[in-house]
Amino acid sequence: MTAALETTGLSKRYGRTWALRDCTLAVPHGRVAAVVGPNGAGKTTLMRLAVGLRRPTRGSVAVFGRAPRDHPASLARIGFVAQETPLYRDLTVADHLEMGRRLNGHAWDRPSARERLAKLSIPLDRRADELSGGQRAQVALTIALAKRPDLLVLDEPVASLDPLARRTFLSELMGEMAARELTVLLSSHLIADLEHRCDYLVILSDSRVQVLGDVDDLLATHSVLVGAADGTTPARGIVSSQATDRQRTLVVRSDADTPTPPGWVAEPISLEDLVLAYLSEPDAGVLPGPEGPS
Amino acid sequence: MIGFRLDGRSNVVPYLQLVEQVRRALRTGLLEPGDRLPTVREVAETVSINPNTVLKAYRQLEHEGLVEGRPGQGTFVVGSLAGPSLASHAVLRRELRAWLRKARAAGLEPEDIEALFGITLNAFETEGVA
Amino acid sequence: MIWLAWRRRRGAVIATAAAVLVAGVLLFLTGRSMWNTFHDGGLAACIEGLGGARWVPVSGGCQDEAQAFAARFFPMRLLGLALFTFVPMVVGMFWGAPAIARELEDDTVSLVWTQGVSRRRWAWTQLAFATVVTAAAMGVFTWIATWWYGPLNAATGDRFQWLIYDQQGLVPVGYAVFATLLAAFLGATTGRTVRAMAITAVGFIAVRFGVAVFWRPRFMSGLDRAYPVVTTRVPNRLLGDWLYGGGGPGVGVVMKANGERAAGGQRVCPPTDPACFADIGRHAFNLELFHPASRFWTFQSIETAIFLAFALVLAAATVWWVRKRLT
Repeated sequence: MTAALETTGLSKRYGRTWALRDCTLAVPHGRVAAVVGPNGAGKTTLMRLAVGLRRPTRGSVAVFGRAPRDHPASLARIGFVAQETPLYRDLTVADHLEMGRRLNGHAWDRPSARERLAKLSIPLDRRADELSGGQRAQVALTIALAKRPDLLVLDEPVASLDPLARRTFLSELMGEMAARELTVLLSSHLIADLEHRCDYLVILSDSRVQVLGDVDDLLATHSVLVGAADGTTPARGIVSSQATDRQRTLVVRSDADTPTPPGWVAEPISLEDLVLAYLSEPDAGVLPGPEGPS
Repeated sequence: MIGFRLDGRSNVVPYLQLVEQVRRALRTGLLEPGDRLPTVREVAETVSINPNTVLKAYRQLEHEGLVEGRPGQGTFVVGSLAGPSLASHAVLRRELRAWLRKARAAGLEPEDIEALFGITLNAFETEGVA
Repeated sequence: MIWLAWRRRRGAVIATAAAVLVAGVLLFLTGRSMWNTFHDGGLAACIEGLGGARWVPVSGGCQDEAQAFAARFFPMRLLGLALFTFVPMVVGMFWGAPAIARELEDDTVSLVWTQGVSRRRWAWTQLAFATVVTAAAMGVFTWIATWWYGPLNAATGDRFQWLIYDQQGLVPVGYAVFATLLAAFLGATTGRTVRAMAITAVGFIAVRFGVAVFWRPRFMSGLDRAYPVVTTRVPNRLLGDWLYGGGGPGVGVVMKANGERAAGGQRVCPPTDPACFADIGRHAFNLELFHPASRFWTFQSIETAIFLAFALVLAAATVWWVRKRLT
C-alpha cells in the first residue's frame, strides 16, 4: 500500500543553513500524524515540502507516490493550511469559497463548506481582514476541506485560537477524519491538544527527525520510573532523568517483558511526558529500521 | 443513546475506556439490545478523539458479541450484560445502602469505604476462584 | 483564475479607470481651448495654405503665427512634458510590482499554489491581467494625449523630437507594458512590492534613455539635405521632420563651399546682407541629417515593438522564476 506521505533523505537548505536534514518517514494513509519540535526545528519546512510549496535540496518527497512539486495534479489531493492562515485580505468569505470552486473544479464540495461556516456562524459577506484569528483559521480549514483532500496538512492551525475554539477546531477535524479516509499531518506546540487525537508521531529536533513512530507503540515501549534519588539507575534505555534531593524520575524505553528494576515504581507514560522527555534530551532518539540509533 | 467521555488521568488506554463505558451501560441497563450506538463520527467529534480509537473500541465490542455493525445504518447493541441479575439490582442496592449507613456510623469516610470495598472484593474474587 | 485576479484588484481597476477619466476630462478641456485657438487664430488656415510644401520662403511659412501660438501655450507644453513623461512608468509600477510580490509578502501564494491550478497558469494570469489593465488605461490616455498634442505639434513641428515623440502615438503603451512586466519581474525576484517599484524606476529610466538616445536615431538610416546659406527659401519646419544629428547642438551644420565645417546649426542670409556671410563665403551651405516626418508612425511602431519584446522576455523570465526559483 502506498503511504500517504513518504520522504526519503529529504533535505532542504536555505543559503548555508539546513532547515531539514535526512528526513526519512512514511505516514500510512488514514492516520493523524503530529509533527512536534522546538521552533526552527524544521516543522514548517517539512510541511511546505510535503505540499509542493518548496522543492527539496536533496532527497525526495512523495504524496500518494508522486512528487507534489512536479505533479500539480496531485495538489488536488492535498489540503493545506499555512501557519498564519493567509487569506486574501480584501476578499469576502464567500469570495474565497468561489475561488476554491473555480480553482478546484468538480471536486469542490460547496454545500458542506457553506454548512460548515454556517455552523460556526461565520458570515459569508465578511471580508477576510475583518475576521478574528480563529475565524480565519476556520475559513482556511473549510477551504482545505472543501477540496475533499486525501491528505490534509495543517501547520500550527490552532496557535491563534482560544481554548474553546481550539477544541472546536480539533473536534471538527476528528469528525472529518471519521467521515472519510483522510490522512492528517499536523504540527503544534500544544502537545496536550495532540493527546488522544494523533496516532503517529514525528519529533523534529535541530532539523533532524528525532523520534518517529506509531503513538500506541511508542507509549507501550516507554514508561516512567520513580525511585529514590540515590538509587541505582538501570543500565540502559534511559531517555531522560530528573531528580530532586529525594526522588528521581526517569523516562525509559522498555517493553512489556522488561522487568521493573528493583527499587523503582513503573508508571505508564502520557504522550506529553514522552514528547517532553525527548525534547529535553535532543541526543536521544527513536527511529524505525536499521538507521535508528542504538 | 449514551455519551462517552475520556478520563485524561486514567491509566486505562482510551479505546478500553470507551469499551468499558459501553459495558457499564449494558450492565446497568442503560443500553439494551436494539439500541443504536453513536456513529464513529459523532463520538470522535464530541469526545474530540481520533476516530481510529473509536473504531478500535467498536471492533472490540463487536468481537465480544455485544454490538453489531449494520452497513449504512450504524452500530447496534445485540448482546446484554445485564442478564437476569438486573431484576435483583433494586434489592441489592437497598441492602448496600443499609450497610453504607452502618459504615458511616462507624466513622468511615467515603475513601475508606472505597478502599475497604476494593480490598474485600479482590480477596473475595481470589478465594471464590480458588 | 481571471475571476480571482479581477475580484482581488477590482478596486485598483476602478481607481485606474477613474484616474484615466479625470485626466481625460482635464485634457479634453485644455485641449479644446488649444484647438479653438489653433483654428480661430488663423494658424490652422495658414498651415493649410502651405499645402505641405517642403520649402517655404524665408520670412513666410506661417512662422510668426506658429511662434505666437507656441509661446501662448508654452506653459501648457511644459506641464504636459512634466506630467506625461512618467505616466507609463507610474502606471506600470503600480500594476506590475504587486502582481507577484504582494502575494509573496502576504503569503497568499501558499493558499493559491495549493489549489488545483499550476503555478505557470497562475503566474501568466497575474501578468496578463496587470498588462491588459495597464495597456488599456495607457491606450485610452495616449489616444486623448495624442489629440491634445495636435495643435502643439502643428505649431512647433516638434512631434518627432525627443520627449514629445515619447508621449503620443503608440510608444507610451509599449513603455507602460514594459514597466509593468519589469516591475512584476522585480517583484517576483525581490519578493517586496516597494523595493520592486524603486528598482523599476531606475531600470525603466535607464532603458528608456538608452533606447531613445542611442537606438531610436538608428531605426532607419537618415536622409540628408543641403541648401545655400544665401537663400530665399528654407525647409518647412512645421512639417515635423526630425533633425537629429550632423553635429553642433543637434540640428545640422554649416559647411563652407570647400566642404570644411564652419559652424553648428543653421545660417540663413539674405543676398542683400554680405556681412552676414562674409566669414564663410557666398557659397557656403547648410547640411542637415534628418528623418522625414513621414517616418513618424514607422518609428513609433518599431519602438513599440522593441518595448513589447522586452516585456515578453521579462514575462517569460517572471514565470520561469515563479515556477523554478520560488522554493
